[in-house]
Amino acid sequence: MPCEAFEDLLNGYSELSAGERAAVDAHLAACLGCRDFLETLTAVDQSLTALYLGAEPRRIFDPTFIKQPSPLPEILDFIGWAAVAAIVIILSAVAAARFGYMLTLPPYAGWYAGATAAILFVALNRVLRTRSAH
Amino acid sequence: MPARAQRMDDEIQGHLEHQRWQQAFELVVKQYQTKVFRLAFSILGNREQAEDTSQEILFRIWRALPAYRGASALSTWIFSIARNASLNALKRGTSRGTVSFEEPGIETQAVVRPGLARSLTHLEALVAELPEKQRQVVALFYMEERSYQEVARLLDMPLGTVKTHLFRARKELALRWRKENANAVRSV
Repeated sequence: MPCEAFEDLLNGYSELSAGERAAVDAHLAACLGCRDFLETLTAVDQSLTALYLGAEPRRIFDPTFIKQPSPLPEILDFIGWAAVAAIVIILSAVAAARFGYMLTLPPYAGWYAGATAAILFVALNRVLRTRSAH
Repeated sequence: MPARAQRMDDEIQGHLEHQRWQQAFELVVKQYQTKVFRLAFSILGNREQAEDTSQEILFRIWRALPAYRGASALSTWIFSIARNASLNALKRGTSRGTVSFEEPGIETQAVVRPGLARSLTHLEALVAELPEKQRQVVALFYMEERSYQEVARLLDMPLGTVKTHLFRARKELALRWRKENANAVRSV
């Protein structure tokens, strides 16, 4: 086992200053446990280098394979959502006018329902965009 | 960050400001593909899964590009996506794999030094037994050519913490390696 006072110094042996290394080398000359430990650390270090150094992916990602259209500029994306919201409002109003009497709904219920749905759509859009950015 | 990498990031930012998404993304892939892979590999411990996850990460980056606002550095943003995706893949129960003899580098070295392949597989198994953070730091440190700064950047970890994890990991590996080699000698 290495001497506790020298463990960290041996672990960072290659990064020691000239003065620190001289002090450690002086200790190593007299301590078999620390010499063995340094030898093992060096072997582990070399093996970890062989195992991991320069790891590269074998499959290279080709960005031209992306067939989908470029991400829409935000304004076009927003217009798309606004158009969906407007359609929902109109359909809700039409449905309420056509069938609302069955539920004894007031005439303007469709407009409120449509506006609520539109607000929810826009909020959902913002949440999804924020989450995808993270 | 090295000057060349900073220039590349500035170029990417320029494309993003003008909504040239394809050009920006091509540069992102060129600049960050390997680092994304190494980060995923260090977290997942398995090359195949790291490659699959890297592809997924790059698709996520593509979809999220228009939402990047520059609140953080581009590299910080990319590595954050990569870390989250890799940790999610790890949580989904993908098991830690080991380096196989089909790895081209290992095969080549085995031909030159027959004992090396066996000892590397053994070492890889010891690394897999380390606590998660130590394992990630060790793998990334040697993949990134021993750069403490790069490891700290990729894992979003203070420099001192990186050094502590690395020192503890190497000490543990050295002690186990010696113990197992001593047992192997005694059993001969």
